[in-house]
Amino acid sequence: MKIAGKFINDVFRTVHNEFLLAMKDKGVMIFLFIVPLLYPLVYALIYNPELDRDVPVAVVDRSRSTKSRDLCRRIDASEAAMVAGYAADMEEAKRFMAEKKCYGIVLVDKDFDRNIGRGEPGQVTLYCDMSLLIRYKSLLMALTEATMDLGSDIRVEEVARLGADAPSIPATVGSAYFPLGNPEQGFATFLLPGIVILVVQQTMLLAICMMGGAGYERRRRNGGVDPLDTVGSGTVPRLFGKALVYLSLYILQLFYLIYFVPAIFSYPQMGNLWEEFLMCLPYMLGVVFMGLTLQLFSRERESVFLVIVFTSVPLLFLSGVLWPTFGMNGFLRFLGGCFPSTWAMQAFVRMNANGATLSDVSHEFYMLWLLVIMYFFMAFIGNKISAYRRHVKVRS
Amino acid sequence: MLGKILANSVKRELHKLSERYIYVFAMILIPISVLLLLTSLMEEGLPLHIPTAVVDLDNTVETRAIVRNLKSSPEVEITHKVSDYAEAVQLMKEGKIYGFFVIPYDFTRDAMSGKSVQVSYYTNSTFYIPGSLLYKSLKTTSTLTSAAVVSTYLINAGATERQVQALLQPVKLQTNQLSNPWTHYSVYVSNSFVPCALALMILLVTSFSICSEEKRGTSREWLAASRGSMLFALAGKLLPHTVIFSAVGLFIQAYMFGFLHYPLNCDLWIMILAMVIFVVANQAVAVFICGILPNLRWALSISCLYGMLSFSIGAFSFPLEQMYGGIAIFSYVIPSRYYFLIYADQALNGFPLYYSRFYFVALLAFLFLPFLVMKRLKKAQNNPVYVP
Repeated sequence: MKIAGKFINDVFRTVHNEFLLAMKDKGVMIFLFIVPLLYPLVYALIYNPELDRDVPVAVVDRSRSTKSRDLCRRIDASEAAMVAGYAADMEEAKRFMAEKKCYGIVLVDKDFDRNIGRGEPGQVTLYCDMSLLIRYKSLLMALTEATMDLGSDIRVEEVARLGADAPSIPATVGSAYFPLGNPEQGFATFLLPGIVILVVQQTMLLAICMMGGAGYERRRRNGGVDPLDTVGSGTVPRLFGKALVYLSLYILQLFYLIYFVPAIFSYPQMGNLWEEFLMCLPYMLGVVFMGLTLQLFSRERESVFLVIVFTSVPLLFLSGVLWPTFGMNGFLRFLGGCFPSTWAMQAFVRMNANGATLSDVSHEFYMLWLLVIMYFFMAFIGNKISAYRRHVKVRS
Repeated sequence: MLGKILANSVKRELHKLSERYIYVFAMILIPISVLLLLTSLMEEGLPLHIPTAVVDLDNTVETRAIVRNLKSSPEVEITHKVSDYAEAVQLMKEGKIYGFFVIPYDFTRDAMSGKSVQVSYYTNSTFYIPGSLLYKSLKTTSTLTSAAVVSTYLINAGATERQVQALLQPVKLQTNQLSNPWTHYSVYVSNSFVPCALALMILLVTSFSICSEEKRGTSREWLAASRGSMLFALAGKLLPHTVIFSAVGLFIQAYMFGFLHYPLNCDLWIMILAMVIFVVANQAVAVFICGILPNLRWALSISCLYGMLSFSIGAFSFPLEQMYGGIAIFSYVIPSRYYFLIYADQALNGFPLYYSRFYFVALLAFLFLPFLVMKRLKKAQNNPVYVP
């Protein structure tokens, strides 16, 4: 009874102390409140146009026939591409490209019209700039559609020309394409749900490590003792208390990130909000304990910028949201798996976009709990070691 | 005389750099680990063997041939054969497949009797790269399927081979992906993201190094080492950084262009020059930030914001001309953007240097930034205040 009483007392003392320390620290407040509020908005605004429309192409029309002009009109009319100009030859078209007047060249073969008239395929070639793959994707789509449309019109003409001898054309095999989870195939819709989850981890780690750095600086100034720390509380209640503080400080931001940001920009929201919340519980706990482990290495408040900020980029790639996990080698998959963000991003993206339930993402959910346990023990052992070292130092 | 002052200042900075491990991390290990991580992550170029399911509701000789066709494309790996749509969607929700192909009931019978039939394919497009790739591959298969069915029907109906050919594909499209015919993702991503990560570290390390002097109250001593000249103090401090960062930058280039054989269609010296100017330009931006906000936390926060947003506003993945004008305009003040444009023009496309002239000028223009804040910075160094 007495032990339980001390435990609860210790937890409350830590909560009280850590809460006041965090609230007084402007740097920590920026990470916990301002960054999660503004960052997703900025990102969403950058990518909000979603698609790459009207990519300029130059046309080198060697055929100069009705058919080739018809093709160019179709390219120009498509959503993804537009004809920026006509070049006399390939050299001129290349110059257009170097001057950034176009990002692709459409070359219509000299015998384009004649071949079609003869009943042979007419040749069209696309040369595409590869500096941005999204442009290539747009151009490829526009050209494929334009040539196929023209093709089916020619087919009708051809059949009519063959007259009564022509076999009745069967309704060709149609195909229907359904992009699930991201019907517009937009850039923001695919990127943002992952980003909002990553922001949680990155901001929390920055805040917690900054607190750790501040504590270290206080100890250095005061002969190894932190005057603002609680005295005589056990390691476990301290960790629980701190976790409680960060979880409760972040609850509103989490709601904002996983519910409001997708709602504002009308991204798909197929998941059940409460299940998403439930999934985020082990995620946030894992992040907090990871932070409480990393905190021990933090020697200075500001050095966290140098070692934590950059991780956002590799973590985005390791999460499997950009580059699928099955395409990575074992080491990278393991490395990604060590971060709570990887599992949470996978789970959240599928819940949010595909309407997966918590049981559909059970694998990720269990892995998140595994990380919670792992990082809790690491934080526990780390804290014990550093407390012991401090003890030895102060005594000597 | 001036040389001696500079040497004095450089010596002091070298001492500072060697005092702390964090500089080794931030200046060398972090950029190189980002390089190794990104290039090894995407070493295959494209994510091949995408897990896919087939819902073959007809299950005849003809439809099994279609499934075999699907299997033969390098992007597709048929991991599941399921009996209905709901099961396939469930697999997708569990993340086991990235797409599926549906062949309807009585497909063969209807197709052979000339009725209208339809195959459908679904991709999980919330995963952009595998989604797009799978789309391309499934579309090809469905087109081929259509061609096969139609030509069988036509030949059965008595058409000649030649007529069939013309009817199937009257317009043929050939695509040439200039300089990256493999559509290698790492060529596309690493060439912009790794230098941008380097830029982020340059901004952070430079801000950290300058404003730490204020925090630790050593800024007067720093000025004194160069006899009160802010310019020399900055030059002495940043010159060792320039050398280290340039070396790291050149290592990045050597690794990508040399070791991994990424396209390099221009003179190597152009890229080397671009990298060195790029490093100095980023340092200049960081000095400017420190001059405007001579406070460690604020300088680092702004550098961090600037460095992280560069990845997006630099438009390495989403084109600039599509962004809102109010956002796109910021790309003009990002060195990484100019480096990327030089890379795309020179190393990737091999255009004449003439067309990239403005990008070099723009990068060089960043070097004027520190002079705008020189006075303010000196004042801050003379009266150091630390606000946590």
